[in-house]
Amino acid sequence: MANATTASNVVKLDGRREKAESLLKITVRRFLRHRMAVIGLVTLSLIILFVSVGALFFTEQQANSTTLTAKYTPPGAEYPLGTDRLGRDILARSIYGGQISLMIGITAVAISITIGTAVGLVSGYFGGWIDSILMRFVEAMLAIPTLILLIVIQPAMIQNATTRINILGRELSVTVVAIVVIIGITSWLGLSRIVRSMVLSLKEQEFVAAARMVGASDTRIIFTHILPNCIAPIVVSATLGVGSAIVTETALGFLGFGVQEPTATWGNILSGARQFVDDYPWIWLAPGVLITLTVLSINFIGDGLRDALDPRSRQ
Amino acid sequence: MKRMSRFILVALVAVLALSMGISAAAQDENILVIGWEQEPPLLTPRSDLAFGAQLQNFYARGLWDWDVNREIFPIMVEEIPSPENGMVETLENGNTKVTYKLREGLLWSDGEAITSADCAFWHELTMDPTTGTFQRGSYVDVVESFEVIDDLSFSITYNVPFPDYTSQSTATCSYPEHVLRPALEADGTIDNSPYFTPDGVNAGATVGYGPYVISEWIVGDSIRFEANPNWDGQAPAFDVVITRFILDTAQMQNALSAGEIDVAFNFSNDFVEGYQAIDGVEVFGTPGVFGDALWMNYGNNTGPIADAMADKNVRIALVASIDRPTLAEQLVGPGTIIPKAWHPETYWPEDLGMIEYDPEMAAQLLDEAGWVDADGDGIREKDGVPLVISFFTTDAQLRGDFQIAIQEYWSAVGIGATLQPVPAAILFGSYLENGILSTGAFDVAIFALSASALSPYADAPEWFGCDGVPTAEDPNGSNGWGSCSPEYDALDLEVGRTVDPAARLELAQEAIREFVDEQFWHGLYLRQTWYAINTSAVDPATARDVGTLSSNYFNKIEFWAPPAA
Amino acid sequence: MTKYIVQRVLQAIPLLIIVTIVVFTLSFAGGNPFAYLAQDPRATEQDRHLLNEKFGLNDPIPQQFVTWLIGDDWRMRDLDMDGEGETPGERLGILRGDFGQSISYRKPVATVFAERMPNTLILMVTQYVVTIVFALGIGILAAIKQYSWFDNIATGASFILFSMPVFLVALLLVQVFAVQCRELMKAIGGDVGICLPVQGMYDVRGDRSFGDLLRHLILPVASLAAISIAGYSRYIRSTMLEVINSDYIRTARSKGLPERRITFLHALKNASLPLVTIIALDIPFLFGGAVITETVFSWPGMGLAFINAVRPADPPLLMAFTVMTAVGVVLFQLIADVIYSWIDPRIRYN
Repeated sequence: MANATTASNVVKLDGRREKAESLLKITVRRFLRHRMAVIGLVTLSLIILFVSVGALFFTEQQANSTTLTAKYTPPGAEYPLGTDRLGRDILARSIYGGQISLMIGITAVAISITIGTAVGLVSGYFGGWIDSILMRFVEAMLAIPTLILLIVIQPAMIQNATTRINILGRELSVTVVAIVVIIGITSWLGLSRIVRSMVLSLKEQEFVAAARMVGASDTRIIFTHILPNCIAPIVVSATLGVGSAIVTETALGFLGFGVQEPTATWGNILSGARQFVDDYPWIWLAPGVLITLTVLSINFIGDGLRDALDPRSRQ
Repeated sequence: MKRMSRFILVALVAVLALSMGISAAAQDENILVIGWEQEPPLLTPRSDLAFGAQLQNFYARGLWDWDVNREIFPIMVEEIPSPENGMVETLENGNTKVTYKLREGLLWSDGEAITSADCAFWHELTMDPTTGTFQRGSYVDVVESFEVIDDLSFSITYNVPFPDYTSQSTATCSYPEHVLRPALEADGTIDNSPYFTPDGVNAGATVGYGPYVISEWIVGDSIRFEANPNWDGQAPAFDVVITRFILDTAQMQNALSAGEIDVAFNFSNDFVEGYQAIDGVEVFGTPGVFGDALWMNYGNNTGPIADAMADKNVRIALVASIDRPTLAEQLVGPGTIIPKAWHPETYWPEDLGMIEYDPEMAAQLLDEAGWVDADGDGIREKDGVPLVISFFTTDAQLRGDFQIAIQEYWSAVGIGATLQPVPAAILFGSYLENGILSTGAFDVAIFALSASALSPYADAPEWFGCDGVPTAEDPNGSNGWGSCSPEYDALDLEVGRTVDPAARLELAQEAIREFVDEQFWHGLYLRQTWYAINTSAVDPATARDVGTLSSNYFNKIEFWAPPAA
Repeated sequence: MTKYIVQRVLQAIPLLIIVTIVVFTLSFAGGNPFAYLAQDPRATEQDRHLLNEKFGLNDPIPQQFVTWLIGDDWRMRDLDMDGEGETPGERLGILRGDFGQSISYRKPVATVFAERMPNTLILMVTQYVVTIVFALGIGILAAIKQYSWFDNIATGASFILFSMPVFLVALLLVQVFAVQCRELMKAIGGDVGICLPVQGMYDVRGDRSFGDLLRHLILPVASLAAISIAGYSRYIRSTMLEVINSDYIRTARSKGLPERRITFLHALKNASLPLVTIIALDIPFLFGGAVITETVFSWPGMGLAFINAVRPADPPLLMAFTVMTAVGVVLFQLIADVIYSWIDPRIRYN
């Protein structure tokens, strides 16, 4: 069993070196062959278009403006997606809410993939006191409740509530940014443990020992031998991470710690519907479908990426 | 693989079969189940939650109470003390003395007799703060002495003229000495007495005087009350009342619809339609005591627009630019009352005015005050300072909705606002904890500070008086909005010390005019208390007998009856 | 290995100290628990002060931490506020097994935990077992039949569920299986007995039997498990795919070993490293309950106590949760590391 693995990896290593220039091309070609991945990419692009170009048709003020006499209007000519309990246009809110929800999802995943993977690789590969320090830190972070972090920043946020931060041309209050960051910095812990567990096993395998024997540097071993074999759980964790970050914000909203209205997020539009799941389904349908589509398309893109990057795939 | 799916299938079938096997046990008893939105950790008075006090309506009644029309009626006493029946006297020094006479033959639920000693015991506990942690209010400050006259009669002498002898700092006879005295003697405090705890309830330690006995408390689930054999009032028609704790508002409605509870109450107006839509459910509302108002910080303001807030015309403009009737109707519900003053309605002068929605006047007032939009950004400014209101409220949804809607009205007349919904603990924190209100770190805030529904006396020095502003030297005041009107303070003090009802009414009306004239308090709504009742379990005609104060919603529960067959 | 375990246990001590100090300090950010009394004209400043004194909240935070850790039974406390201590302290401190008095529940933290932990375990353990069983089945099947209709449906359903907040899943399930079901049964004259309960652990009018509990478990367990299954099955599917496509399985297959044995014996064991990791990450948090599901179903568990512990501040209760979680995290990460080396004996820690 071990022999087979070693042999194939050495072969693959050599093969890769020969075709180095065309690797990107190969990856793109393989990715494009994955039909669902392409559909996912198109859908995600459409959603990004929706929240960015859509903003040209509505101002943020329109998204937040209330028409009390038109509350709970079902979808129709005037409000294509209906209105919520304050008569706000759900279409406009979905556009502006999407910007924040996507930002939450993407930030969390970016932090999770970079920090989580790096910590897992370093911790698992080098072991010893580096592993001890990094993993004890992860355990400490796991043990500190996220809600407490959100509560702690609250008084500071009140002092600075008027401070606005400009992100991609949109003015956001520090509170929103802080929630994005906190969801992000607590999202990498699991992935680092998963990557570490894979590395612990991989680094003891013969192909790594062989590479070490021929004088490959640690960096090289990590990036060419170990990391590619950890891609699968990283991709799953990343694709699940987008959804769970967006949903985490919703859950925080349920408990009163999420992004506060009037600033819309897909999450708080959804929470706003919770008392009337049955009576006014259009309030949760629009953001619900958008979140699902986002998560699904990112998943298919992830599947495609994994297949395209898979070192063992020979097609 | 197949084996696993087979296993799952078998397990599923087993679970379903087991669960189908049980059916609701046949009951001979008449049980009423009330959905209860909050579980108190302990029983009153050790728990200060309103929902704890509501529970007392079942197992521990007071000396007297107020009915749906806020008319007082006696329970444990023979008659309500009053100057007319001679039980309320004004002593030579002008102070008030009230005599109480318990009805004969009152028994605790364990059969012991209720006597003046029980009332004296509670007086003893209240006067010494180390005997237990519960709210004492102003009792300690205003009560001079307690005299037992005989087994059923006693009197309280106040150290001031005290007109609120029925509603504040009254005697309390709801707690049995023979149960609580041993705890006090053992620990020096009643805090560890089983009387207040779920375990104590289940061990039968909680004896009281009410139509029901509190008989079982399953933490997080429900409390069960059974008819009290020693109750000498109207015999309850339901043998058992169960309060079921349901924390989610949408689920409360689902539970009523599924027949898991018979009564839901205290839900917000948004749900009225939903409850009405349920088959066989009748919904009714009663005048409530809970409401929110805009509080404007005009005397304790350190923010950039302190000058604007100190200008009465700006404060009038702030409220004149809001269409309060529309807000109340759309956000709270049709027929919602907008209170004109903080004090109970019965004391308002008849001609008491209220600032109407008039955006043009608001704009004009702001122009005159020098707040104009010179730079065309849509927000008025003066000397380079933009008119942006630091606008706080708690994180309750309805208040947040008011905040969002008010921001829009303000925006229309060139007033900016930063919305700051914060947790109640931060809004109401003390001065030393940097509480928003206490430190005056706000311009306008929405919250409720419930006035007594029965007394016009506001305890102004603490809440509205010039000396009540919290400072580093004296952090204990509650007047974070910095209201300061020496005329009002003086009038309020007189209201609090005038026993004669007619004279008191006149003074109160004058005080209220003075209060309203400061233009820092503007009511937003007073919401109704809603009840939804399953008509197949309760005859709705009997259920309309309810209380309308903050803690007596079920004070006529013994009159509630199942529908006639 | 023994040496490594001892080393890890020793490392846990500074970890626990740091975590408790950090969380204790942060816990006060939730605001004073008696702040709400300021709204209540019946409560005087003295009432508030006394309540704070009673729970030791007037002391400086470092002193409160020391009291929490080792107690205060050697000093006098000033409960009558005359500036002089007269009441002996009663706290023993967590090191002597006293978790203190919960402020929000006004009773010992140990009592709060004892009342709620069994309910939470019933809910969480059931949902966890259901999750693992279903996720394994769905994940493995989806991997073996990659890109089949089963796989596509499982993938689609997983992600729809995974993108829905648990309260929405829960309320929709209640609508269908409890509320609409009853309306339908009434309309067609069927037996409403087959409809599920809306909320609670037991029917208040019922007999509180095991069957009653099972009926009440179905919806909360389904809401929680639906979402967890979605996540877990993705991990299982992907790692299974990885292993199925790996060379040694191909080799084994080419040697003619029967398909089922290959999948289960070889693939599953190797696939389990990430799975062991996520299980070890999740188990410590099972004891804390599920805040939102417990709220929606009024399930009297730990999650509700947790939310009461963070805001307004209830440091003793929050600290009990923190200690419980921290010990759980440390313990289960250690167990995970031990299991790694059991799954793959080449793994060494040094």
